Amino acid sequence: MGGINLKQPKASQSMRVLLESGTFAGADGDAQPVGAILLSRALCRFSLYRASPELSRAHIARAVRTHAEANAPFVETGTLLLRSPHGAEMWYWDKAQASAGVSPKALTTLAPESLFREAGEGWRILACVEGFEAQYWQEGGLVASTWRRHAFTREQWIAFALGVEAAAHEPPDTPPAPTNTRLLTHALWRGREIKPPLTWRDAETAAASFALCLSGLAAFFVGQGLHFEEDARASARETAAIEESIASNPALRRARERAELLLAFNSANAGADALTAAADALSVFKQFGVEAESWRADQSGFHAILSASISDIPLRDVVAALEATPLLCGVEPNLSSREGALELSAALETAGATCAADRGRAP
Amino acid sequence: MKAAWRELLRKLRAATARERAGLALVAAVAALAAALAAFDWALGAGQEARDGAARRADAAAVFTLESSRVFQERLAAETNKVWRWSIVETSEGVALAQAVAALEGLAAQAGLGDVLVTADDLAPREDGAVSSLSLTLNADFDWAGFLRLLQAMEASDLSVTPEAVEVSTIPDEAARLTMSVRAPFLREAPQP
Repeated sequence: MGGINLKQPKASQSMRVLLESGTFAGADGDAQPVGAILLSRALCRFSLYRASPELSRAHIARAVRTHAEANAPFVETGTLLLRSPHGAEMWYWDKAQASAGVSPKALTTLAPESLFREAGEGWRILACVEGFEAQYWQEGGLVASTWRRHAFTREQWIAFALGVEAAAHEPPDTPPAPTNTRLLTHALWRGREIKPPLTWRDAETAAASFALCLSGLAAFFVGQGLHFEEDARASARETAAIEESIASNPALRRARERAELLLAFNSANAGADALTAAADALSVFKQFGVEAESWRADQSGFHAILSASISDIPLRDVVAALEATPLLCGVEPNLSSREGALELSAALETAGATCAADRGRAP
Repeated sequence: MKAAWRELLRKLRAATARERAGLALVAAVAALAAALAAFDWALGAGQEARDGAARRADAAAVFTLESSRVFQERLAAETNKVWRWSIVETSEGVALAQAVAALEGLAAQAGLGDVLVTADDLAPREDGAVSSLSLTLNADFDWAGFLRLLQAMEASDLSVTPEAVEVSTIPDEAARLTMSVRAPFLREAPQP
């Protein structure tokens, strides 16, 4: 047993570790695995794929996939590929051995227990759920890892250290004391995972999911539309019932007829107040001592011919005073064809409407 | 039906992932089109529902208002005024003649000289509604007479609305007034 009596760490409550024997180790020792299933380090093999720094992420992914496939150590190999500062970490396990007692769904989420330990730097030995794992870390990435059933002997350690090429850290002469760390509950390494390339099967799943979601959305809108239509029908029924009760009541019918007559009378008499506009304009002319030879006011505007030349009257003030009246707007002075006369035109502003003459003018 | 369904499932199973992905894509596009159409329809139905609710609220408000005795009495009083202020006749011709006579009377009352009142065409209206009779008055212009005419129009029982006024006081020419007015006309149902 290597002479070291070290207490093996336990898996957390939600995790079960598949042991070399095919049984599960967990906090409560359940035979039936529930939650995440970790692979004992005894079942896994590690290898580092060193990639040239010039390679892009896509190229590394493609290269490491090919490399892992070509170097698969089992007939049926389970693989987990992770990006690393040095290229990619490759974890292998015997899929046939691991699949015994594990549901097909859980098989897709299997991961080595080593990934659930804290990252390190330099040389170290970890006490695993079963056995011991020697690791060499450099620049935050795992470079080498090997497993032994019992604690490492000096010879085994030297062999491991010699197997690491160009190590930045000097390896200790004797195996370091094994570290006992708890398994982490989070799986931060998932962000580094190099997933298999997209297949037509993925496209099928994505398109089918999209179609399903959109069908659900369409069904929701149809439901909403039907609901609104029913609301509209109910409103129409109630409105018709009100109209019916008005029509069947002579007093209400008479009241409606009278209201319609009043509306028709008002609309027949509606229009801009041309007379008031003319009175306003003539009052402005009187204020400036100007006499209008002739003037016309109608629904479209006011027009006047003044018996004055442009030099006789403060034209700018007259225009401003006309603009200040409530009904006139867009006042435009023009020279008359007759000598000593001036023409003034203005539009009529109806209640609540903007001046038609001002429309289209630059602000 | 069941056999056809089984046949479809068999064909789907026999298809490659690529073919199935293509079919799923077509289904997704169809579902997208259906979702958009359903959204548009639901939007329209929602607007219709809101309009319907607004119409129902309006009808309920009108019903409440028209059921009020005070409002009915006020309506009756206002309607009487409309009948009093309008020319009520069975035909447009008679109504126009009456309007011309009324306007000539107002001009005479104001003391305007050389009065000429002409009737324009009757604005087409549906039976039962209020129509407008258009008339044009031509007369000699002086300010006092013009103001008297306006006062007479204001005091008149007939509602006369000036639509356009044109005054010409060019020196060496006779001052003339041209005024276009409107008068309401109510067509009375002919007596049997």
